[in-house]
Amino acid sequence: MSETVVKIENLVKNYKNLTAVDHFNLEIKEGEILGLLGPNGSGKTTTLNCLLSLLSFHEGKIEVFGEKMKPESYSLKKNIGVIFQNVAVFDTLTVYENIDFFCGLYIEEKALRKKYVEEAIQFVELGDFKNYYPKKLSGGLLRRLNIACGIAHKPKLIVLDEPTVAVDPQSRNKILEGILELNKQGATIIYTSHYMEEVEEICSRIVIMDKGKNLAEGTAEELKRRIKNNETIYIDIRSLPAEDMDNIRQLKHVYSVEYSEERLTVKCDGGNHNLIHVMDYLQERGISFGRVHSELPTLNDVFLEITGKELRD
Amino acid sequence: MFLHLLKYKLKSLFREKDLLGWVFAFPLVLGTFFYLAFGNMMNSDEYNFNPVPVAFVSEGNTDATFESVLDSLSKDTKDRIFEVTKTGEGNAKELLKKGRIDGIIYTSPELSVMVSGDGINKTIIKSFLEGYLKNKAIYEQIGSTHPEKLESAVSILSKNISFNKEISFSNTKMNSLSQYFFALIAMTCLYGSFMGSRAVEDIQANLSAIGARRGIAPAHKLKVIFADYLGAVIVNYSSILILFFYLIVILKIDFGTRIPYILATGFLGSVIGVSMGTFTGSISKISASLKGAIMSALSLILSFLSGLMIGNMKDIVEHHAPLLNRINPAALITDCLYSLNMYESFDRFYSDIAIMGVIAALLITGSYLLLRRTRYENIPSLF
Repeated sequence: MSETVVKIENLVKNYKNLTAVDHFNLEIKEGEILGLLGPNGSGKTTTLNCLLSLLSFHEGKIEVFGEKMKPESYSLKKNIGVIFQNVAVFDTLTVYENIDFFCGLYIEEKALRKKYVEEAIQFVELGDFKNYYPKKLSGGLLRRLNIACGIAHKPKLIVLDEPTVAVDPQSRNKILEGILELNKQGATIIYTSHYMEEVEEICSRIVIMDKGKNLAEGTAEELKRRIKNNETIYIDIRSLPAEDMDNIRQLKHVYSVEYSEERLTVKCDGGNHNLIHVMDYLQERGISFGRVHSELPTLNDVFLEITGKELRD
Repeated sequence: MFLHLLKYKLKSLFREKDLLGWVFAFPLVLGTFFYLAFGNMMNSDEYNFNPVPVAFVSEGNTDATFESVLDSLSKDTKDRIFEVTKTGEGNAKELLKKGRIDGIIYTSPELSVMVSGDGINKTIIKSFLEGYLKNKAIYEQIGSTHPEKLESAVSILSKNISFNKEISFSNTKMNSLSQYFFALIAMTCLYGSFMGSRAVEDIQANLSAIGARRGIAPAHKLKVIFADYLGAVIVNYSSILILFFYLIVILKIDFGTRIPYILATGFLGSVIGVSMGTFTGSISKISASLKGAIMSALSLILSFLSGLMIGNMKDIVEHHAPLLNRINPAALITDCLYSLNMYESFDRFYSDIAIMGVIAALLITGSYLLLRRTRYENIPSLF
């Protein structure tokens, strides 16, 4: 059985009268890529800051690698790497120097550090830009430098906070491949992002939090099964009488029918042949239709259903 | 690890062009400006004051007392102020036109002066006349009751226009304009506050993403703080050394012979400057831009009060708010440099150094108390 890398029990963090984290629990096993999802202000940032011992908290217990996490837990910190959403590098140091500087906070031995820095540069493919200053780098390259600074010391636990924000598709792909590679090399990863497809693509387990609470967790498939919507069918139809809409609503597993702008949207809560049933009905009634397509629920649907659709800050 | 931190701090600071501009280049430019503005006065072995040539026209209405006063100030002594030519108006105007005299003093219809253009000699003539009119009643009384004492009275009452040379007790040469260069050194020391403030920003997780990245690293916070602090002091002190070299060796400004003490003053000044920055920087409730503005304003105000723009400002402060001179680091730095030049004894220098030490200790302790925390209550949007 895998070892527990992170264990958060009943974490509570208040900002004056606001409870940012409300009895939050989380356990992450070695080798996992955990996606931490939540709308803005859901408490995921605060949770991560508490985990990293940057923030004080009011209640609860945080353990990393089986030991209590404290600001002076240097032996634990040596095995943690963080990639911040905001690029955190010195503008006055070159790519190589930046990586060497941050790696030097973890690795004192010069020869080993040199090797690690070179490997990190190779990993993020910044070999041609070693002597460049950050201001000369594009957004994608800068993100890759940010990642290299966080992982050069070969941490066993890596926290990535939206590392692909404002990055072009090629760089994003490269970053995601890199995260999977780090995981293959043995790193346990905590990944936060607002890009659901990224989370779905790389995370082995997902936690959805809101209002400081852990609302749901599991694999993407497990989470999708937890929501009512199982399939959404879209059919282009010139006109649809109200009577037919009512009849479609009566079909098995259908729980929502909408018709607007010549498009019929049917939502189903289960079943395997919903599309065939709807099309059979339309053909039976002699209703001609155009383009037809069906979508299975996405992580985005899961996220919106669990956290609600109202706008956040 | 400490050397690793220090090495990169120094690399980083020495590559910050804005910072280099303010801390290294600006004082050199200002020093050059002072040098050019003061011209030959700075380089003369002593302040050579030549009597001001004036014409005295006393046609019609005469003023015996004034004439006596003018005579006593134009006697051929070392304190002679005027070289007087008693002549008629026509000749006087001709002399003025030819530039042989700097002004004409008339007694009729009333005491008045005519000068051509501006300049220090013209100012002296005008000041003398204003001074005389202010003290006219006193001169007249002394002239009528004790004419033999009129000369002494003139000597006392005309102090404001006499150019008494400051005598150094330490056998060094110094003139009153050196005060500007002392204040320039003080200003450069206080500019270390920019680096001190910046160093704190790069350490505190609640102030920058770099601070957060360093906060999660397995490095002892005090070690990180000290490395950054030391880096800032080294860079600031380097700028002071360059400035000293430029002023003393290139511009030949006389700072006296007590070089080790002068350099020690610069070092302690740097420590205070950087500490001032770390202290202000560690007050997390103030925004970074506001901190920058405070640093600039504070450095300039304190330097102004120490005589950067007005040479005798420190004396004015001493007269009206002496405590300010005791706690203003810039005033203390200039006073250290002044006392090293002026006095044989080190009493005043040591007294200034002691106060500077206390100020530095207070700022460092305050910074430590504010920076020592390792966990924060709130970290604004780093993730």
